[in-house]
Amino acid sequence: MLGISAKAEGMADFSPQTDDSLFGAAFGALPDAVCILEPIGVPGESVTDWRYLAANPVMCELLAIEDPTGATLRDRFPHLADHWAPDFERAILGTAPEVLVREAKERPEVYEVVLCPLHYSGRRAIMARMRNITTEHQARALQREADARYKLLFDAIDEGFCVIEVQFDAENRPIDYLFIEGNDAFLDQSGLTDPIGKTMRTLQPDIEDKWVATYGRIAMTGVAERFESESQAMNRWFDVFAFPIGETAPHRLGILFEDIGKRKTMELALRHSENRLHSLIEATSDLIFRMNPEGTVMEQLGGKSLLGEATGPGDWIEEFVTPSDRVMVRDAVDTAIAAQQPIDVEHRYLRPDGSVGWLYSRAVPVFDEQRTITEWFGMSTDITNRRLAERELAHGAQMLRVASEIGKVGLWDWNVESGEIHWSDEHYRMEGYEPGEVVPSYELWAERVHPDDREIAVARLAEAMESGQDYISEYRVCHPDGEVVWLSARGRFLYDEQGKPVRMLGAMVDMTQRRREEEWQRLLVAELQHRVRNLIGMVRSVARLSAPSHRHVDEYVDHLIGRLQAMGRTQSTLTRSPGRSVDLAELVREELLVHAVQDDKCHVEGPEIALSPHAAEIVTLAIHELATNSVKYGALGDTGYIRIVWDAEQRGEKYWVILRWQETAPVRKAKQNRKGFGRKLIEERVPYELQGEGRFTVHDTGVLAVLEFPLVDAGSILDPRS
Amino acid sequence: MTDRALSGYRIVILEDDYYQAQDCRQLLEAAGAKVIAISATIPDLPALLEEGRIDAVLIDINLGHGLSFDFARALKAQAIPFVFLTGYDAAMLPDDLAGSGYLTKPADAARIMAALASAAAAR
Repeated sequence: MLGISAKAEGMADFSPQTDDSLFGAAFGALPDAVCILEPIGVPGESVTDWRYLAANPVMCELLAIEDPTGATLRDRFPHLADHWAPDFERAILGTAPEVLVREAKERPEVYEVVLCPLHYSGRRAIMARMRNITTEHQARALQREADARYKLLFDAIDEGFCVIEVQFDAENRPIDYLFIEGNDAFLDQSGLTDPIGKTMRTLQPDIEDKWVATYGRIAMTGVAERFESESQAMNRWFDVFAFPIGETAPHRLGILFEDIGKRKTMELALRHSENRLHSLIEATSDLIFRMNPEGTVMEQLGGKSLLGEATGPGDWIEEFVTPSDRVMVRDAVDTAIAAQQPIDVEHRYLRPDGSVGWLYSRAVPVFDEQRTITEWFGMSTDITNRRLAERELAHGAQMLRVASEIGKVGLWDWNVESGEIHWSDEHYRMEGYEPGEVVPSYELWAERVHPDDREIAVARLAEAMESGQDYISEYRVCHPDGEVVWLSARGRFLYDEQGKPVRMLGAMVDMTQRRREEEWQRLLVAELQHRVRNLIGMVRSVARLSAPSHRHVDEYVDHLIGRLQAMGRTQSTLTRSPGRSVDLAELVREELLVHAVQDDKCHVEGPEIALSPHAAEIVTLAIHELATNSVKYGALGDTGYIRIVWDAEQRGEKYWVILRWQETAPVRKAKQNRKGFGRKLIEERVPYELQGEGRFTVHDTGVLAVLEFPLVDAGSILDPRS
Repeated sequence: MTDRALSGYRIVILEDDYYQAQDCRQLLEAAGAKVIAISATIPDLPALLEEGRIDAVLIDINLGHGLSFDFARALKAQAIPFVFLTGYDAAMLPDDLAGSGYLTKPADAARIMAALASAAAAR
């Protein structure tokens, strides 16, 4: 190209093929494609085209053209001239070579173009060297792509990865390490901030020495290591795989690691939880076992040797369960298997020492995915002591119940804190309720207490609660039907550690009957006292009233004694007779007997009549006086005869007794005008005390006495005159 | 015994035992009193009062077929003095009559007259 111009301007014949000068030869021999172009026009002002001054054969071959020397760019490559023009103009104005990379427009090829400005003989040109770099270019592109993928991978992995360079001191001891490179996860998992380009000790001055030592060792030995270690300085647990990169200095290591703090925590928690579970099982059961799905073969997994030295799997029901419980246990196991529910059974078992104990066994089924039982896992606890305690408790409770029922003892159990009260059945009855009729409460109890006794009963209770002394109280309870019942209660408060009353237990008995009997006894004693005093009063009066009719003391004493004996007889008759009434005929006959009246000297006749004690006393005394009189003065002292007859007749609303004492005998002695003791008795005492009438008359034929008085009911025991 | 200590006193005796009533009457009359009634049963008080004043009443608590407390209350209401003469203890007296004059049987004449005299005088 340049040759053409040179030819035209006086430099003709320069062509690699024709110029055999040294430079021409060298130019033509260049292995690279080279050509020289000169501008047409003034560079920097107006260049219209470029003329080839020369082109070597390689260039011609590369461009697949004939030697272009002398031709212009636009001639040869009309569509490329404008494309290259700016580059050429810029290069020619510059001083240093310019390297351009250009893709071929027609082919998938890439070229490197070096443009060098040339100055010679006052003229300027550019030398262009072209090289096909397509292959290199493609290789670089591939490399870049691979690098990008690697980087992506590097950052995408979960584990932290970094490259470090271990630093050694003069004695070749590892002292620190420098972070060369690291992925995103490395930042996350190490917790380090902006570590690349910094050393570990800069980042974490208190880092443990073991890390440097370990990495130093790996760097020196070239042997990769995998380990788990904790950095307390970083408060992390790491799972690390460290491997050497290259065999010599710089000592670089690749470190693949994971922060396993969370996993470690979980592992620890799991271990604790397992330990706790184990302790729990150990603490709550004596034996842990597994069993085949049919529940026949059992194998002990742990626990105490309840069943003797651990034996191999065997039919435990046959081996350990007592014959009495085997059917029951077998049924329980079969039922659980059928229902796929846990087994829960209490049974007796044979201990290694031959004694019989109680075992509480539970087992849960273990299922596979088809919900088929693959085995049973269970545990057993020896509950012999509990069963014994339960039995004793049941016995105790039964004894208490029976005893309280038989003894008619009402029991209560008061939870002072909650106010809840438990009453035994008898307690309900004592309060006038059917058992269970009401919910017992303190208020309910207080309400039933007799108003007169309530204040004291409540005070006693408060006093016992305060003092800790036993509560002892007797009080009345009013039943809804009006019945008043006496209760004797004793109780005791129980206290907590702070001395606060928490519970009260107590018992009470019905004292009504005893109270009644005591009252009865009190009345009897009062009555007895009254009677004795009354009797003495009467004796005194009788003695005084007897006195005026007797001039002789002996006679007076005889009379007095006779009267007192008659009174005594009445008393003994009354005491003997439980019906508290006295048969009139019996009374009369006894008096006659006492006075030795022969049967042939008297006639006694009358219907059966029961006299009140009071009437009996008076009639007895009357007969006594009449008989005494008669022996002394009348029929009985002679050959006379006495008729004692009585009858009863209705007068108004009452029955009256009419008793006649009639003597038939000659009167031996002087007529008695004075009103003697006997006569007064009949004529005055009968009306006074019996509201009746009495007559005492002395006829020629003898004495006639008539007593008439109304019958009253036999007095009760409390009738003081009875 | 002070001779005729109850001179002019008009007295009623309520005593169901004939002998004791008689004995008592003789005692009181010997002491100068005028026994205007003796009775084994509760007497008709207004009728008695129509016959004249009553200075004192001697009452046996138990009259065989009933107690005499109501009669005592009637006397108390009329401010007529009375004294119980009874075999019972004083504890037997109901609360409203607890402070009344009271003698335990057997009582000798001196005590009876002293009690009646003091009851009548206290009026």
